[in-house]
Amino acid sequence: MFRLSRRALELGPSQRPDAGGYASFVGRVRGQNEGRAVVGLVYEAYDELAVAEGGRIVEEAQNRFEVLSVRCDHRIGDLAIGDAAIVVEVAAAHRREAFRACEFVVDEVKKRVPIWKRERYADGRSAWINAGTAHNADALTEASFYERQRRLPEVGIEGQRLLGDARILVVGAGGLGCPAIEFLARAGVGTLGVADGDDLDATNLHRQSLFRARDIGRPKVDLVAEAVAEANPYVRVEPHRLSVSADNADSLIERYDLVLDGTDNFGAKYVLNDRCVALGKTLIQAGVYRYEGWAMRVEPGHAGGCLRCLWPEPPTDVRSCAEVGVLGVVPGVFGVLQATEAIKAVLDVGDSLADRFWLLDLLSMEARSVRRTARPGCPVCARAVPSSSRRVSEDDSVEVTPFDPRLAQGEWILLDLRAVEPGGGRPVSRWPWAPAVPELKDLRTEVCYLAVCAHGVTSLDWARQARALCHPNVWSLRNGVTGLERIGP
Amino acid sequence: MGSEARIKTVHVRYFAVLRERRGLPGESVVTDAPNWGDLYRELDAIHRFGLDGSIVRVAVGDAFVESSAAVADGTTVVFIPPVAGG
Repeated sequence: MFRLSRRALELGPSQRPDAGGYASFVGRVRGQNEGRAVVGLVYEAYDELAVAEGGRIVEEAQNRFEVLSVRCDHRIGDLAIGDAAIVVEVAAAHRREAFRACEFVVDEVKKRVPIWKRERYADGRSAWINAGTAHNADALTEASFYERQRRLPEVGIEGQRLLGDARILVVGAGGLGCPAIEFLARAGVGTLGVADGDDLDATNLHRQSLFRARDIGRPKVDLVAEAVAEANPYVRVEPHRLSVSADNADSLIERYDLVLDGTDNFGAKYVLNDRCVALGKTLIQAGVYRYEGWAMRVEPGHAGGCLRCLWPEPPTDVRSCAEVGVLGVVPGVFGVLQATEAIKAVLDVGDSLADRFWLLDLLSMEARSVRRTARPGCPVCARAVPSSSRRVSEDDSVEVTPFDPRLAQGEWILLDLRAVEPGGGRPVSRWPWAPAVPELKDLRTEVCYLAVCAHGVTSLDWARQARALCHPNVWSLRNGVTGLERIGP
Repeated sequence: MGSEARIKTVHVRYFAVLRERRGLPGESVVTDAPNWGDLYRELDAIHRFGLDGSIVRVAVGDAFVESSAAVADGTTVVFIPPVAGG
């Protein structure tokens, strides 16, 4: 039996008359990791996969050892120092088999089950760590993983932090998406959303580099999550098993800072173009045809314009890869190129493709960079929200001004943080109508929170903490109540 | 006759499906077409690209131009159809 639990784990061994030996292991949250003081952590699992893989491990233990029963429970959610994170309990006729099975289960769970933990450190920072690989490989540290890349002057410690804070959505885990996802993950992009509604098909395998022949028939997003967890334990995939359409695009795009278009059809490309420009999200696009392809960046509000500036309507009589064939390396080249452009956008380095249409013919090896300009009268660019995602971790992504148009959309709850003391205690607002400030873990995901304090410092800190715990809809009012007074009535 | 009707030589490059239909990455063309849209239609009549000129974008030198822009002697033009594969 393998279970995930949001509540405190049950520790004591159960009893059965046929068992002579019980072995149990309890893993608890330590107060430090790699020399840094840890104040708490959050475990997050990809539930379905975790339960399935954990179940397989328990079954393997039962087959491999002479045991009577095996139980493994893993905590998810918020844990404090000393809380039990994992409990393994084995009952057997004799002690030796019980010990061996117990060790086997712990080792395998740490290696194979997709559970991530986010450690919160005493210095206010936090980081995602895959529970498995990180604990298992003594030679691996987050610093060593990125060492070669961090040496680059354009990256450095600060650039690596920007990548770690970045949230990138890759739409389509296909010929473009696979190499893009892999390199973004290896570069340390902290959160990768992956949207794809398909199951793996044999015809995908010659170009979609994250997948294996044995996985035909399984959902691609699950396979991506597994492959990325194995490649880099310090980043996390948010799988979205769906095809992007006009109906679901906004709710998906809004949760990310930048979108990489790995789709293979104009319908999806135009939806992403239109919604990214409207929502102020940088979009990296590409398309391939047999041995050729193009790539460009759409930066909302930029003079280079968007896809509709080039082709106002989605073309209808253009054939897809399925019909015309494609050499696997061609989308590979363009997917890697898209990842490069996305990383440059996050780091804000180099020249961008925001005002260029970049073409490459891999047969003739002829490359061309054609300057683009926004088409006057483009209805999409006319309503562009200037890109908010150039520097994804800038305070703009957490702070709002009283005039921010986002405040007019959706349901907002105003939280007055002026009464929250660092020492804790029950916060009481100075405004009798303001609701009590909830604990971070109790924040609701379906509403937006606007945190307000005297100068916008405490509220910014609070909003950042909430964001670190994966509450994307928490904002801080810039300059606080003092700022409001300056604006006047 | 105005200057537009002069005979010009241009270097045409084809992208994606156009290259395929033509069977060549590019060629030099002698034409009296006044603008790039007319030149495309002229070539389409010969080679049967099967793509309407309205969705083919024209790049001259290093920038996109309107298909109504005048054909200039000695320039390189790229005809770019939309491509979405991935």
